[in-house]
Amino acid sequence: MNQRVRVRVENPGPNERVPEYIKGRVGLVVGVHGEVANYEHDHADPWGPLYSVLFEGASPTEKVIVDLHEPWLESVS
Amino acid sequence: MVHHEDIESHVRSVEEDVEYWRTKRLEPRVFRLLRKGQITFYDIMQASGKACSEIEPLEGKGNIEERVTALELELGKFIRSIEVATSVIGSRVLVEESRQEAGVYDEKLKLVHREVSGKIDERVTHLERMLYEDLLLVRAVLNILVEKGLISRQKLAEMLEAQSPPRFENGSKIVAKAWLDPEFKSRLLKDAKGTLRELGFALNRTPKLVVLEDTESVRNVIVCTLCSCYPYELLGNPPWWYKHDSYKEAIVRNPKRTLDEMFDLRVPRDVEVRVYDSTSDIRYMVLPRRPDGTQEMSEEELASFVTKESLIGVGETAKPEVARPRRTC
Repeated sequence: MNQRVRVRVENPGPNERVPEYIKGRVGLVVGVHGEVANYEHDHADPWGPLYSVLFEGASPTEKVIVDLHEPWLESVS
Repeated sequence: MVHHEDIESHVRSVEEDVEYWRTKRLEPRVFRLLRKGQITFYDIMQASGKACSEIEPLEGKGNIEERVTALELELGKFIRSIEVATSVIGSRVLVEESRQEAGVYDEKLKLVHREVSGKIDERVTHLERMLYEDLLLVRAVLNILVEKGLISRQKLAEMLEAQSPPRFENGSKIVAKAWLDPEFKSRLLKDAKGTLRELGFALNRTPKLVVLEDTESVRNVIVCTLCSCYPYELLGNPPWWYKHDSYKEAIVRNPKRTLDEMFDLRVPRDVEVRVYDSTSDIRYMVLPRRPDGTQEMSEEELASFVTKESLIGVGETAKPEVARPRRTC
């Protein structure tokens, strides 16, 4: 929780999909969900622990929260 | 930026849905059955006569908005029929092969989308005709499956009628309950899926649900920029604009401006807007603020103030002084 993280630009797999608009950006972890029970229609393999990461938006009173799996995140001091 | 009540874009969105279901889900499966010899062209011709007597052409009555609403209802039935046919045939086997048949991996196999052009009422008329033809085809296929003994007529009727599709009214009931019962609300915010299971919502296909509470200083909005994830099992189908690139691109880049321009919703400067992009296994629903002047009201009355837009976060709940716009899904 409350860890600052940067979103990787290169796809680390296995989850290929991450929105372009947050690649390379730094955000704050605001939600820790662990391994969410598999959704068999979407992905058969586990994708790693899931986090909700908060990013600053267009103004100080606008924020965007994106759900990202651990392989996509690297910690930032 | 397109406006959420823009009828042209709404019609185009329905066209795209019809073509998606036809070219990616229905016809590839029919081709596969034909290729494997499990049905023949003759079967389809034979079955079409009966289908014609079972399916009525779309009426085209009322104004454009009413006709589009009717189209969306029929589209829902079309989708339901395809899902039933798929489950009878055996969906696990078919997902990857359907993709191959649909030309997902091979341009040469891609089905051409039908052209719809002209003025809006011509396009709606054309769309009514197209969907009618598609409904005939899926009906014929279902009749063939019955003829071949893969499903009884009785069971087919049951599956088609099966539990009415989820609608946003489910969401309204949950919101009204949360407004009345602080203990329920607290449990809902902590573990939505667990709490809703007690109310009879199985949510088997929703990996994780999170309910976002609006406050005096925070408004929540949901989007799925990667595809169009939505809490379908709870709220039914999303509104057409939710799936539109215009919404997806704008809401994350300029949330307040988008709410203003697309939805005529002006958020005060000091109120924070949080946009949740459901990019993975979590689905979101907004718990809007309870409107003033609703004390003493029953859960049922309270539920009637909840609009679909307020559950997504792009609109207000209705207010007691004003006549409530009762929107149908």
